[in-house]
Amino acid sequence: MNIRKQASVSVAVLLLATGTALAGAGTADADAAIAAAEAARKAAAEAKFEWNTTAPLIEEAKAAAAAGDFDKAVDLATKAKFQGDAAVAQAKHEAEAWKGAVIR
Amino acid sequence: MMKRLCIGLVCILMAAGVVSAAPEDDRQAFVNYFQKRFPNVGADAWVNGVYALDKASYEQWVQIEEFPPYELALGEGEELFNTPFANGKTYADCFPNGGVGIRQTYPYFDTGLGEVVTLELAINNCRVKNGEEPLGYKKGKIAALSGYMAYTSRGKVFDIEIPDDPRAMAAYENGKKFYYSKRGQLNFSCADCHVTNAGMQVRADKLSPALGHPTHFPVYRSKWGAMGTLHRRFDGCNKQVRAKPLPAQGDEYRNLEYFMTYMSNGLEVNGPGARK
Ligand code: HEC
Repeated sequence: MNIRKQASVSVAVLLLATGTALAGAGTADADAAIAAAEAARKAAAEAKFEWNTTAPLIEEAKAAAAAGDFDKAVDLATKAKFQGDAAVAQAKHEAEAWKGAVIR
Repeated sequence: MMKRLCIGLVCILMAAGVVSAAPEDDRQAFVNYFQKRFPNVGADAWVNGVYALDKASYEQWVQIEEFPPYELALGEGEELFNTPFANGKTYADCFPNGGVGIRQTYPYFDTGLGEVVTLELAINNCRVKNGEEPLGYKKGKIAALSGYMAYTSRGKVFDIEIPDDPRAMAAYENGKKFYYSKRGQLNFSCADCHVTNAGMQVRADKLSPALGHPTHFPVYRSKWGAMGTLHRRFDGCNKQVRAKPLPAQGDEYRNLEYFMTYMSNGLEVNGPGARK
């Protein structure tokens, strides 16, 4: 094998390796992120503290996944999950904190 | 160190105080707060919402009230009110005093049902009892009907009672909690806007004071180009802070209305109203 040929093979191998890594999220990742976001949104809804921005994010995430853009889907679903978690934390915090705001 | 301890103790005492505060103490404190903050507003002027705070828009509004935009709805409401159901009964059969001049007693805590009954809920309960379909809760016929019933009650004084029943007290407390809890992505409570920032400008609007909020509902709102109920307004105010609104006439909004209307006890019914 001459040097030139050897070089091009290793480039090909390198490309293959990074290619897999860069391919990023797949269907399974998107589905898992969306399911986690939906669970967080549901918990916020049960606490009656859901934000009205969360469900639209999940819808966008689903649309991105359906269009094959799994990275975008994961990104949006992660934002939605953050919101659901934040709303649950808000509900927990307000369960006591509201008392300090009452006019006396 | 001592100081910090005292502050801690005061906090504990204050927290305990909230739980045991009687609704009437709450109401007194509420009224005092607004009267101190806006000493030029007359004791009975709170029913005018934001117009109680702003002379220029008050004068504009008085002119609007000369040819009130809710007049059509009043006519519609009166006709609906007097039209018998398929079984021959009418709304008058469901309400004390034939449904005339009774707005000031709503919402009330129904000890039989174990829940808060608003005027709109009572209207639909009446329909269902007589074999009719319930109406939608935010606009249209329900607002025309409750608007007409409010109109027959103008000048009566709000007199919301909290019966000696732990469930009634819990409903009141839940409404109060809702009012003071921050919600939504913007993390604002009702009180943040209508108590702390009452009189301040938010974009195109000046924020109205919480005292007197329910007295003129339902309301004709120019922005809606139509009548809407108090729960329609709750819906809008929840969305403003990017919170998902809760169902109109669900427990949460009915308890909220119970608390808010109790705070406005002693003020006159002046519904329906006209607003921007
Ligand atoms: C971000 C600020 C904000 C928050 C938070 C907010 N509102 Fe409002 N609200 C407004 C604005 C702006 C208006 C329109 C101007 C006015 O009348 O204050 C309004 C109007 C109203 C009105 C009608 C007043 C009238 O005279 O007709 C009611 C009732 C009301 N809000 C209740 C509530 C309740 C209950 C909550 C909590 C669930 C709430 N608002 C939270 C901003 C807010």
